[in-house]
Amino acid sequence: MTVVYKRSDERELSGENRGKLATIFAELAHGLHQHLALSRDVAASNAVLLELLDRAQATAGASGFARVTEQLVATNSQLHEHTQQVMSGVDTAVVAFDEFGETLQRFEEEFLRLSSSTEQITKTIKQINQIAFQANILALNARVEAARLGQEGAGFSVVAEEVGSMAGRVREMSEQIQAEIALVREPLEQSLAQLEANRETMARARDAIGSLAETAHGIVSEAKELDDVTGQVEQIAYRQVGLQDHLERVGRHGKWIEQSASVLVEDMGKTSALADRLWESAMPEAARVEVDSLQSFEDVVLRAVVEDRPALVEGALQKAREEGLSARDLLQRVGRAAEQVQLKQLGQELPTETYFRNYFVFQCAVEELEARLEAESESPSILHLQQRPVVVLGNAYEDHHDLGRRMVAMAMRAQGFEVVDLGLSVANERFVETAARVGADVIGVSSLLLHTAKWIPELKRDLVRNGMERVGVIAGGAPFLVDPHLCERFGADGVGRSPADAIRLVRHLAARRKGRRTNFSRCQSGRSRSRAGHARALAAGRAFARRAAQTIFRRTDSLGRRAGGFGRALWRRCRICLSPYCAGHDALGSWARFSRRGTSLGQSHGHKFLRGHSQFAAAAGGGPSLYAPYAGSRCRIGAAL
Amino acid sequence: MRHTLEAAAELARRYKGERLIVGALIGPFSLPSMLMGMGKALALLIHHRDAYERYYPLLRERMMDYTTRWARDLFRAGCDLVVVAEGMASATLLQEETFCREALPVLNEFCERVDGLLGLEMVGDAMPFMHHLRTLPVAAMLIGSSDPVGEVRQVLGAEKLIVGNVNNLQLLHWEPERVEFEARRAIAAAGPGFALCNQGPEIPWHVSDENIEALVRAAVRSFSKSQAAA
Repeated sequence: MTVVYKRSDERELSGENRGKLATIFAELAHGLHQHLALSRDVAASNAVLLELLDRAQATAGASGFARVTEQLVATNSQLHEHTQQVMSGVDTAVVAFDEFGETLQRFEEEFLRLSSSTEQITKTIKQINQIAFQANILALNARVEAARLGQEGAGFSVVAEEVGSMAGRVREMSEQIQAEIALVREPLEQSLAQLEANRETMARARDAIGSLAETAHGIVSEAKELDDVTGQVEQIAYRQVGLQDHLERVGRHGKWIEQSASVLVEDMGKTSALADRLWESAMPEAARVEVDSLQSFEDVVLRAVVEDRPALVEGALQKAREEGLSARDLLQRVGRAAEQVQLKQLGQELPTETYFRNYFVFQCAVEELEARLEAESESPSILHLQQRPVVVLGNAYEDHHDLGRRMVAMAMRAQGFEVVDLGLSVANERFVETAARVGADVIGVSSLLLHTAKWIPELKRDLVRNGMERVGVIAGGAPFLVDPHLCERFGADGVGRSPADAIRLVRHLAARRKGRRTNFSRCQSGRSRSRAGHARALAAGRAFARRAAQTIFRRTDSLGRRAGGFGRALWRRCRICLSPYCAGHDALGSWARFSRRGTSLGQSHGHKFLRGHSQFAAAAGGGPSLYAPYAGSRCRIGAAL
Repeated sequence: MRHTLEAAAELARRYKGERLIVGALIGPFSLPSMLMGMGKALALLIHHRDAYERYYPLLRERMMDYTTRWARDLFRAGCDLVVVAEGMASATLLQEETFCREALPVLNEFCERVDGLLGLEMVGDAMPFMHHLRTLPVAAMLIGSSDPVGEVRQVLGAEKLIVGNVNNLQLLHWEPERVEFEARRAIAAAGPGFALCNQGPEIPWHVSDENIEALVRAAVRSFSKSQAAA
């Protein structure tokens, strides 16, 4: 091929080398875009965290707690004061009642004495009446005797007349006195009856005031207890305010992270744009056209999701077929679109319908493209070479509610995950057996009801028994959404509250597991192997990978040296899986020894994902198809170079 | 179904006039999803519009006919209130636009056809659609633990009975004091015309008796307090 690109040293690049250079730049841009996407993810998560912090602080702000506590203390203090006043009043009332009772008692006694005196007077008057009666009889007898004596008795007759008259006046006077005493006795007796009634009322009032005094004492005692409780509440409030201080500090750090993340995102954006330009400048014209077509396809997929128009995807797929775009490149673009949708949905709780609509669009694309990929019998792409998470999904045993699981499966497939969907009512043994067979990173268990979710703790135990404790278990379904503690109690590694949430969780668990995973068995027939068999397979894989890496190195080393700084950046990527996060492949140890520049790669590689390395080795020599799975930007890599 | 009617009749024989006898049924909008599966029902509703428009009127009429007859049978058996469970229509599942277009007319028609006190249970979140449900002629609204009682009362007004919003699964973890506190908080937020209850039938068996008693205590204390205030 004619040389079309010259470096400053005027050395000409052959077409083949130019393709390789473009490949390297593409890889570099791919890595940068991955970092950019992850930085955006961090920034988005941090924004959600800050919002939640704001809400937490607004809900139970320190000032609010202080105010409420102060009011509580003040109210308690007033209560205490009022109780004391009530107690004092009650005591005074008791004393006053006692004194009043005594006065009434004395009053009653006086009245009784008065009543007794009137009775005595009545008796005396009766005796006087008796005497007057007898005097009248005597006067009558004297008059009779005086009449018999005649003239001689005339003087006695006058005396007898006077005595009789006097007895009559005495009787009249005593009757008058009796009538007057009767007039006094009636109100006196009524007063006595009233006094008796008052005495009973007084006794009841005294009892009432006694019980009031007891109640008041009880209130005082409870007020003291309330005082203690108030003190405890105050202590809680102090601690709460301390927590608020911590929240504020977390918020400040969150702000710093936000600032750093925005700077990082900006820098990463600039750097990845630069890498894009470099790559584009090294890219042949035909490839550039193809990249534009792929970008257009990705835009249409994204628009189809946003506008909920699956028909757009059908049109885009048709157009892509006509343009001869590779199914694997298109799949990758679907993954990028899904990534963008997922980032937007992170931290939100949307209706199921929204997820259903979104992932139906992706499913339309993925189903057709996977079928095409199989039909085209193409070599696995970098998507497959990369350590894409492997997830086994299923409903818990006896659970027959599949909507959530199906949507999560759709979402994960759209992201490029390898998903093995076991369907409804899956026994734990089947989960474990399948996870071992496919080398799963994560098992996802969906359950709508609590009584089917109960199998999850046993699943964790079964995994440990089979030496698969590093396989993550995520749970989904209503019980886990309603009860935030259920996940922890059942020993699951996390809960997927939404498809986007589940995807991030799987990535996290897969990354956590990366250092020790042994997926070599996935290259094999699929059946479970013994430990010894596994070790043998692993050793064979390592030897193969070492040879592959040497081949890669021989073909790209000189190119790398010429690529300068970008080359060094590239070398820091794993040469086997192309992941910048790879803890390292065994093969890379060998590769590092071959490298003249030396690299930052360590020897502690435990990353043994080897599937498809032969294809990669061939592709690296001849110009592979590359694309950036995680880029949420407009990274234009994906062409068949 | 025969057993359900017999149970309702037996309850009516024993407690009619003393206790509220509540029957329940799957609503006409959600019944297809129970028969064909939620995924297929959603797919029919959302993606296969041709098939939906061709077959759904027929399906809807059959579902409406069946559910209204079932509701009438429950009333005849002695139920005072019949709760219609419409999980498919909840805000957990549907977008608002879809709810208004597809579910709300069905709910309205069902309520018009049935003569008797009805309650509506959305099974998932109800609050986002509450302003649409406000005018629905139902006597009771059953809400979930994520629905804020106070806001629901604000939207529904004082007339409707609100039933909710005990978090049945948190009952497993909370201390009785917390259970009582949360229950009293809900009662206070709802005001008069509130029944303390969890949404759906599932209070786990291993919830402690103390926590169930705490719910009862909260209700009794709140009722005594309101009586004293009156």
